Amino acid sequence: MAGAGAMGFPRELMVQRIQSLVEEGFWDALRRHKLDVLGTDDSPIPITGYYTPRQRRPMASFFNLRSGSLVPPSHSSVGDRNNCPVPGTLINTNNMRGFENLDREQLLKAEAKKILHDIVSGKVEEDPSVLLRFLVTSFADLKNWKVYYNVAFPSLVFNSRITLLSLQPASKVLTKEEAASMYTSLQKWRTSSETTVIPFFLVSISSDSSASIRQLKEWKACQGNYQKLLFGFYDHGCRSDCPGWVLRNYVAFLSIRWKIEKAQIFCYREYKGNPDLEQSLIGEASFPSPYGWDNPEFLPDAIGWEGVKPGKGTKEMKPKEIDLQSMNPASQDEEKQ
Amino acid sequence: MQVKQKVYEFYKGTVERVTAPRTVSAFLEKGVLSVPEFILAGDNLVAKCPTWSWEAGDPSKRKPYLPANKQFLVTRNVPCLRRAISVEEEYDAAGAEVVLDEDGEGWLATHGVQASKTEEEEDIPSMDTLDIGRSDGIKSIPSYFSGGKDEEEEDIPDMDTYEDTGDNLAAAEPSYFIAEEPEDDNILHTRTYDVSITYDKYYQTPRVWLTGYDESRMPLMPELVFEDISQDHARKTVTIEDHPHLLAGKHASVHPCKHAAVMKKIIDVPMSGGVEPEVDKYLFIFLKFIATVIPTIEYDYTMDVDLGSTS
Repeated sequence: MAGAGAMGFPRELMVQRIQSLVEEGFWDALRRHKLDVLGTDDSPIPITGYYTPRQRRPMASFFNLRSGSLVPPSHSSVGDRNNCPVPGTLINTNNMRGFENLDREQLLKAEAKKILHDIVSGKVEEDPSVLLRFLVTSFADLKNWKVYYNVAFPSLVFNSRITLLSLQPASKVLTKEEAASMYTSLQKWRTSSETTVIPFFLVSISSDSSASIRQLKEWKACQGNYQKLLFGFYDHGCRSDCPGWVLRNYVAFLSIRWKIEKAQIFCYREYKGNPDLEQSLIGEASFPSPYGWDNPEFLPDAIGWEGVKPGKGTKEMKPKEIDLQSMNPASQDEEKQ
Repeated sequence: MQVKQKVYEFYKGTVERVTAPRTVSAFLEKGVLSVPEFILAGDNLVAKCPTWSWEAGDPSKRKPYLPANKQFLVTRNVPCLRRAISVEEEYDAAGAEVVLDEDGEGWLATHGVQASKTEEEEDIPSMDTLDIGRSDGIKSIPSYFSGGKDEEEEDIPDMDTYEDTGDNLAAAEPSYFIAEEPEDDNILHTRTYDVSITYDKYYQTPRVWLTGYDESRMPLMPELVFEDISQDHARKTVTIEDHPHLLAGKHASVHPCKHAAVMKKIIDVPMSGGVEPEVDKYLFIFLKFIATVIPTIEYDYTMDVDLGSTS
C-alpha cells in the first residue's frame, strides 16, 4: 500500500477510524419508543451496537445500529459471528436547542471514565466488548420526520507515547506451520457460538508451531506456556499500514490492567468470512505506563466523535441528518393519489 | 398502479394465510422450495458462506411456519463498487456477449467479466460522479451527499467533515475528537448493500431484498437503488416494497414470480445429464442467478456451484 513505505519504524501509533452505519430501522424503533414509552423523558438509554472484524476486501467494516439495538442483546440473536454486540448509550433530546447544547466533551469523558473503570475493575476480562463502548446523541424531530444525530467511539487518550515498532501482514511474520495452525484455531474460535462474538483474545504459539486462542480471562493461566504471545483483536480496518480504531483502548487495557509496556499485537481480519492472514497484521507496540491513571479520581481525556476534525469546538459540531419521510403514513398516502 | 399492487398484495396475503406451507418437495419438478428445504438450504449457505446469517427480524412480523431465530437470511455491508448501468454501457461499447452460454445455461455474465474494472473502481465510488443532483421526482437530501456543491448546503447542517479523511494526518495534539490516522490515500468510498433472502410462501421460492447505503453510510433512496440493477430488470422485476420481516423503510425486491421457472430451467441442465441436483445447494444456484439482476453487488456465494451429488 502506498504510504506504508514512506513511514518507517518506529513511529507513533496511528489507527484507522471506525464509521457508523445506522439502519433506518433503528430510528424507526426510537420513534416508536419515544411515542409509546419515553414521552419527554430524555435520560440516557442503554443500546446495543454491532461490531465485526473486516469481512470483505477492499473495504473496512462498519459499526452497525439496527432496529434491535434498543433491545438488550440477550433478547436478540446471540452468538452470531457477524454481529458482536457492544454496549452503548443513547441520549435523545427533546428539541434542537437541547441537542445543540449538549456538552459533548463531557459526555465523551463520562463514557471514557466508564471504560477506564471497567479496565481497572477487571470487567474487561469477563466481557471485553466494553472496550468498544459507544455513544449516540440525537434529536428525533418527529413532527418533521427527521433525526439529527452524532455517534462517538470513545477512546482513551493515553498520556504516554504509543510507538509502533513493526507492522506486517501476518502471513509474512508467521512460519507456514504457525500460519496453518493459527488459521485452524481462528476458524474454530469463530465457529463456536461461545467465542465468536468476543472481539479481544490471546493467541499463544508454542515451540512446536501450534497456535491456540484463549479468552482474556485465561491470561494468567497461559503465561509461560508459549513461545510467542499475541494480543489479538477483531480489526474493522482495511489498511495495511495501520491497525483499526479499537487497538487504542486495548493498549490502554494492557497497560493499566496488566502493566504491560511492550506487546505483540494481532489485527484479525477476514475475507469472505474466513481468516485472512494476508491482510491481518502482526506488529509490535511499546507504550510506557501513563502517569496519574491509578488515582481513582482521574478523569482521562477521550477522543472519538465521528467525523470531527481536530481543532473544532464541540458546539460547532455538525450533526448527521436523516429523513424518515418514507415511514410517514401520510406521505405514502399522498404518493398513491 | 399503486392500487393494483395493494389489491394484489391483499390477495396474495389471503392465499398465504389460508394455504398450508409446502412440506413435500417439488424442487426437481417445479424448481420450488418447501419450508424445511428453505431452512436446509439456508443452513448450508450460512455454513459455506459465513458472511450470511440467519435473523429473527421484528417479532411482530414473525412467520409461524419458520423457526423464530431463522426467519430470513442476511448479509450486510456488501460493497457495490460501480453502477450496473455503467457496466452495461461497457458491454455495449465493447460489443461483449452478455450471455455466458458455454454451459448452455443461458446465464448472464456477472461480476468481473468486464475489461477495465480496476481503473473504473477508482473513479466510480467518488460522490462527485454520481448524478444525485436531479431534483425532479427524486428528493435528494443534501446532507447525505456532503461532497456536493449545492447552495442548499448552507441552510442545512451538513457533515462536510465525516466522509473525507484526507487531511487527518493529525499526529499532532491529541484533540477530543479525532485520533491520529494516516493520510487517506486509498480508502474506498463506495455504496454498500444489505442483502436479505426471505421465504415467499406464495411462490414457494426465496426472495431477495436490497437495502442500500450511499458513500457516507446514509440510507440510499430506493430510486437510486435502481442504478445498481440490471436495466433489463429495473422497475420490471424489481420493485420497492415493505420488507416482510422489518418494520422500517422501503426496500427493493426482486419479484419472485419467475424464480421457480428459472430455477427449474437451471436444474434441468444437469438432470438431462443424469445428475440430480441437491436441494441444499438451492440458494447457491439461486444467488448465482440473482447476480445477473444485481451484477455489481458483490455478495458471497460459492462461485463454482457443483449441482450434482458428487461433491
